[in-house]
Amino acid sequence: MTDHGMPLGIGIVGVGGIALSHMAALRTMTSAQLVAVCDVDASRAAEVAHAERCEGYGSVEALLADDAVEAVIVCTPNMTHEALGVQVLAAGKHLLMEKPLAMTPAGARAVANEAAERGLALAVGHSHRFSDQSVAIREVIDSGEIGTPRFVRVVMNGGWIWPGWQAWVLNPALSGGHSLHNGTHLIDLASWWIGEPATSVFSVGQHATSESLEIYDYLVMELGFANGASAVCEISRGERPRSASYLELTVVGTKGVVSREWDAEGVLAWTDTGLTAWAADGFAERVFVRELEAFVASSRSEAEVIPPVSAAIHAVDVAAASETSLREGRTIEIGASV
Amino acid sequence: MSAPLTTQPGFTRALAAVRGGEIGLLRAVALDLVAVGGGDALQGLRIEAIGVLRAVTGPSSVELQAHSTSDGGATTFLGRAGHGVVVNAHVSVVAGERRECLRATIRLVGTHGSVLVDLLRPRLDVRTAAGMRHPSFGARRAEVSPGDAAEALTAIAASARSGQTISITW
Repeated sequence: MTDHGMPLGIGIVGVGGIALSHMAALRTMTSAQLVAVCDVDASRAAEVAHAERCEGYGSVEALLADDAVEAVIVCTPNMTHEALGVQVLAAGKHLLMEKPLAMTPAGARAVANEAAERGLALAVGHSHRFSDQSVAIREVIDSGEIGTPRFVRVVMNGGWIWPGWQAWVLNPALSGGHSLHNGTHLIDLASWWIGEPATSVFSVGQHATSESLEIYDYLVMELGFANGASAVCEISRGERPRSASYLELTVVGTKGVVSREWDAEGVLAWTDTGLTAWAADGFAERVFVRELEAFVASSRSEAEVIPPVSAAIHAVDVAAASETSLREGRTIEIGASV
Repeated sequence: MSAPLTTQPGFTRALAAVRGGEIGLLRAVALDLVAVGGGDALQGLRIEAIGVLRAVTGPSSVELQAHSTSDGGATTFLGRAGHGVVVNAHVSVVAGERRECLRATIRLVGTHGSVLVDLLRPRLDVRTAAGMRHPSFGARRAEVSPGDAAEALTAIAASARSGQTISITW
């Protein structure tokens, strides 16, 4: 179906917040083109389709029936991922699934198996792998300059739980909890930098914003690895002040340390809103362009998918175990089959 | 490190912020200490870590899970103190001639704000044709009592060996 001389035809399922980032990236690309969108809110789909000059559908079935759609980005809530993923792949379309791959380890494997059986590309939106800083850190690790990594600290703390988080995110039955919804980003980075899957997880959470929350809006996961390395993954959406935004990436090796803070290389600005740190120019945009370029390449069998499907499944395994650790207050071993 | 970290002016300022309610009620503490040196440096660093954490949380019981590398060069733990504060720390030593820490940071997270302290600062950046050096400056405050870390460190090592959470007091 794919003609390598033509842009890959992309369809987007669900036109909420994260879809906007994908659409913005697609506008800058020549290797792929947005050809259709769909949403359960058909009027919203039509509105976006008009703005993006593509087809708009009110159902997934209609979008999948469009022959111009060669690959699909699923941008819907977490509880829909498994069923939609299988449906998209069964229709013969390559799939970029927003993280997490699924809400359960079994669900993740079901989607992965469907892709493997059909010989289709399956990528998962672990977008932090594509950031300037993540790539640079990996390059330092690969160079051997800091020796063998034995500790990773990833911190992604912010204060935007409201109005940023919708009702389904706050419901662990629909989002899988914070470990699944955002924690998979951190788990993926930690495992990637350590260079092997985690073997255990111990997690501690807090209801920082309100005790009535059903999820832990402040979450710390401690990962253990078979080689003796460890990682601390801290993620919060309940920081105060609400404008707070702090990201820290540190890898400690046997010979040295590589670290940076989110805006350390950006711009410090004193404005009427106080002191703020602005990210480096084009930082966010490059993440999604790189992710989509990698997806296009894997769809055309020109490159391996990034991250590997096994890593995306592993992120779900660890995140699900983390939720168990939160409930039971103990360390959980990760399945040996990972 | 020459002077104890508990006397570092950024740290004592941050402690004052916690005690003064400037960041609300303390919710979490994260500490990283990475030094260059031999095995004796690591033991000293671990004792420093417990002292710093105790200075922040006060005497407390902590339920934690620890990990250590097989060579004992790196230790990490995550736990929850009896009063609910989440505590995590990483301490490791990179083999080499003993000199200034490679990394020493502590982050205090409160209900209404947070404080990040680079324990290697304040310092000057002096750049010459011969290279860079970073002389520190600033007055240090009276040391917080270091207490006895031996029992806590023994328990942390036991958790790392067993892979199980343990309860300690510092």
